[in-house]
Formats: sequence, structure tokens, C-alpha cells
Amino acid sequence: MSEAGPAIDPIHQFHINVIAPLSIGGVDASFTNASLFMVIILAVIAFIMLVGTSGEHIVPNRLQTLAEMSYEFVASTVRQTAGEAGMKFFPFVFSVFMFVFFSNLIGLVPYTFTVTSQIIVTFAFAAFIILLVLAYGFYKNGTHFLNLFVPSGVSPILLPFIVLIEIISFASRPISLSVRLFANMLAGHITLKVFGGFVTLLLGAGVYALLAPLPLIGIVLLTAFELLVAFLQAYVFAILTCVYLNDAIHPGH
Amino acid sequence: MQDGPDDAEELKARLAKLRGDLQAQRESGRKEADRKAEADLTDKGLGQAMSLGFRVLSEFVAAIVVGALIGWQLDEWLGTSPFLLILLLGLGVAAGFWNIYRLAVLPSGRGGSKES
Repeated sequence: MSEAGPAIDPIHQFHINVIAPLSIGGVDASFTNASLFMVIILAVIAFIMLVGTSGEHIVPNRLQTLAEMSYEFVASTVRQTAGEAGMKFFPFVFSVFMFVFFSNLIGLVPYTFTVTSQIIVTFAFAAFIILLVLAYGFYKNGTHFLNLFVPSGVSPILLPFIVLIEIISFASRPISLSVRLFANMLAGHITLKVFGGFVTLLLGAGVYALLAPLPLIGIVLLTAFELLVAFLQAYVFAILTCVYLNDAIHPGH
Repeated sequence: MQDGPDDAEELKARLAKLRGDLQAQRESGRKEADRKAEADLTDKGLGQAMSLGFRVLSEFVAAIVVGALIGWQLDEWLGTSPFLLILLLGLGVAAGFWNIYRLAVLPSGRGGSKES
């Protein structure tokens, strides 16, 4: 690996490079490649949604179909998971889904940066979601929200343990939510890069160059699989957001 | 509009033919849809099963890690090392199993049925 240089270093794609240094009040707020790709993602989503909804053709064109499909898809997910009362959070869930989906998708294009492969990004999302659940749960239900941690019909001896278990289980949600998305993206991209490294290594290995197409075929298959993962992880992220919000809306177990 | 017996017969025959055609059309369409759904299932099945598996794994591990972290921090604060760590590690494992149990018994869609 060392003689091959940084070209096939599978971790290199996750490096954060500062594009425009900026410091606000001692905090490093530089514009990096991660920020650049967040801006690109937002621009793509905004383009699809704004242009897609501006036409209002009765027979929709492609962009309008895309915009309407994504709306219908997320709306039905929210309705199924959190009920009609959950539609209050539809704009939030829709934004989260679109952002995660497009950052996964754009990250699959070669030479791009995958925002969701940084744990700080996914954890910021997950922490915000859990704080939102807590804030809305207490705002909507008051102390009744704490019933979430006290299942009914448990014997009083076991109750303290069950409550502790429920609290740990609740506290583990942001961790599992963020780690799942981050790990899927990270592992997928590293796998793709490693397979790409196999191709170049085999090409430079004399007779073994004949084997080089094998990992190349692997990359093609893996890329298709990564597309599926990109969608599924965004979907799982959105559906779990709805499930957690559902707990805040209907805290009764 | 004169419905002679010939016209009625002809109309009946045409209706019967139309009904038959519609039936055949519907059946072939249904078969196609079935086949498509089946293909979708095998295609998506792997991805969905993997994502579910990953979900189980991450929820289990996260609960244990969170339990251990809480216990460790409480030990630091209260100076009771290592008892709270041990206790909360055990509770974390229990919470991990509880997470998996909940994943298994509750389908992820459940909002519509309960309106409390």
C-alpha cells in the first residue's frame, strides 16, 4: 500500500480539506469540501423541488413526477408510522430524508465527498431528532411523557430495573441511528475503493493482469448494491425518525 | 333504436366476447403484476434483510455501549468504581435484548391503529 501511494489509500476520500479558512469567535468554521457538498446537495434538492413544482402540468413532466413521487413516498411513510398527527412533522422528515438520500446518492459519484460518511454529521442529525422528540414530548404531554419509560403491568419489584433499561434503551437511539447510517456509508465506500485498488494492483502485476477484470465486475455489482443501500439507509433513517416522533406524539405504551 | 331479435343476439354475443377479453386481459395483467412483485421481493429482499440485520446489530451494540458509558461516568462522579459500571453494563445488555425484542414484535408501522 505504501509504495502505491495515496492513489489507492481507501481512507483518503474521507479527508476534509479546507477550501476557505474562516474563524468565527475562535471557532473554526472554515468552508471545507464537506460544506461544499452540503451546498451542492441543497442546491440539487432545491432545484428539483422548486422547478418540479413550478410548472403544475396536468400531465407531469419528469421533474414534476420526481417531486411528486418523493412527496407521496415520504407522506405515506409518515402517515403509516406516526399517524395523521405526525403530518405536523412532515416538513422536517421530508428535509431529513431528502438530505440523507441525496448525500448518499451524490457520494456515489466518483471524486465526490460523502457527507453522511462523517459520523459528526449523522450524529448531529440524530441528536437533533432525539432532542426534538424530548422537547415535543414534554411540550405536548407534560410529565405524562415520562410514561414512555414506565411500561404498565410490571411488578413493583422489577419496575426500577425496567425503568433503567428503558432509559438506556432510549439513550441508545441517537447512537444506533447515527452509527448505522455512518457505518453503512463508510463501509460501502471503503469497499468500493479497495476493489478499485485491486484492479490497479493486478494491472501492475505482470501475468496476473489477466485477473484484473474480476474486481472490476465486482465494482459494478457493488455500485448497484450501494445504490440500494443509499436509498434503504435514507428510508430507514426517515422511518425511525417517524417512529421516535410517534413516541413523542403518543407516549402511552 | 329498434331492438330487433337479431340486434339483441348480436349485442349479447359482443358483450360476451368483450367480457371474455376483459377477463383474459385482467388475468394476464395480474400475472404480470405478481411476477413483477415476486421479482421485486427477491431483488429487494436481500437489501431489506441486510438493513434489518444491521438495525438489530446497531441497536444491540448501542444499548450496551450507552449502558457502559453511563455506568462509567456515574462511577467517576460517585467514586463507586467499578460497581455501577458492572450493574449498568448488565442493564445495557438487557436493554439491547429489549431493543431487539421490540424490533421483532412490533412492525415499524404502528401509528394508525392507536390514537391515545
